Amino acid sequence: MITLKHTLSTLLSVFLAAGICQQTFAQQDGEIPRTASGKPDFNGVWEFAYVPDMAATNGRNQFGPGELPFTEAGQRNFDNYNPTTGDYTGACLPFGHVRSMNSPNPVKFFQTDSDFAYLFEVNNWHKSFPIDGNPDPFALPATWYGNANATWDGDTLVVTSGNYNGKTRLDTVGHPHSHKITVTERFTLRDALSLDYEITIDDPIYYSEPWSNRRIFTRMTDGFGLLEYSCNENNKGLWEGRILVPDYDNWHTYDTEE
Amino acid sequence: MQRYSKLLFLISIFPIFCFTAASQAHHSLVGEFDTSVSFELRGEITEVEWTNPHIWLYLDVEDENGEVANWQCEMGSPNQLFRLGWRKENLPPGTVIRARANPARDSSNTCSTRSITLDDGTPVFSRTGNQ
Repeated sequence: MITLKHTLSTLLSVFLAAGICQQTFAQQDGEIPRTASGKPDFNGVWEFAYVPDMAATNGRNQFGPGELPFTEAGQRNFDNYNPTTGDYTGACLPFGHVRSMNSPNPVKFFQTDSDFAYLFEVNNWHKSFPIDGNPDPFALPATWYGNANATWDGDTLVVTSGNYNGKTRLDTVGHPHSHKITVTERFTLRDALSLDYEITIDDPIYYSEPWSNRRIFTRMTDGFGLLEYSCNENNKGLWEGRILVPDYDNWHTYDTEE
Repeated sequence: MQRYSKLLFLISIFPIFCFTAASQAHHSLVGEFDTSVSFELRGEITEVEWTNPHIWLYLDVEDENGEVANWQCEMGSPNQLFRLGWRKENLPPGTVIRARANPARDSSNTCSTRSITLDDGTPVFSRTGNQ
């Protein structure tokens, strides 16, 4: 039987959750660090939530969209994903841009007036790109981490990436992406110790419309910096046959000639 | 002292739906381990490999017949534990531990664990940190 006390408790929880979410991504009034040229200064080591499922929400520092807008090919690919038949991260192949930003390891941002770099602790990979250099992402070969350019939208750094090789997945649960994915990231400092991060996935092959996942990153102050991470140094799972390399000839559920 | 005098055999095995994707692995755990099965392992540490991508614990486990088998159990990345204040020296050889684990799909004496304690229940290599 639903009592008045239960109803009020539920409503209170809903209002509190809405208030928390509102506060989480509300514009902060605190001072943010700036570079000598006056731009927000993102330099430093940042930690973030491990995101094994970009559709999900942990209610604290990462908020997914819930149900994803799969196309038929996308739903089929996700339904058929079976890591027992091949796990590229388990095989220590490059984790890819989005998967690295979802990992349980921190990232170091290295920023100058003209360039920006993500130094991922996970497997020591990096992604670097110009700010307002406007390179054509398709002028270079397709890559595991995509080719990017960044620009400022006020105090928000907007990074747009394309020309991925399509050999990775977005997250641990296996949400797919194709070589036609465009990834847009928005970084906005809340204060000296935290930033709002929004990543938007636009992949016309696997998703019928763009969708986003939002997080709060926290600056690490433990003084350790990035620690070395070699995926290959003791990958017993692969060496002893419990992990298999994916069959990339049957990785996608669409005509890859498109 | 007899090396294995303090060991006990596998305590229990029972199927529990246990979604361990939040266990923070570099890869999908379900590809290598049966995360629908959870069991407790008790044994004596013989070696700790403090390496990426996973820390590996080696432990001697005694069964009900007194037979000893060596198990290898994967944990998370040492980087995360290091930041929480843990060090390889916190688990020296000879230490008896209990591990909540998922078995490997290949039926070998291999497991994945994210929760271990000393025999008295004190957490070791836990995400609550080394206080």
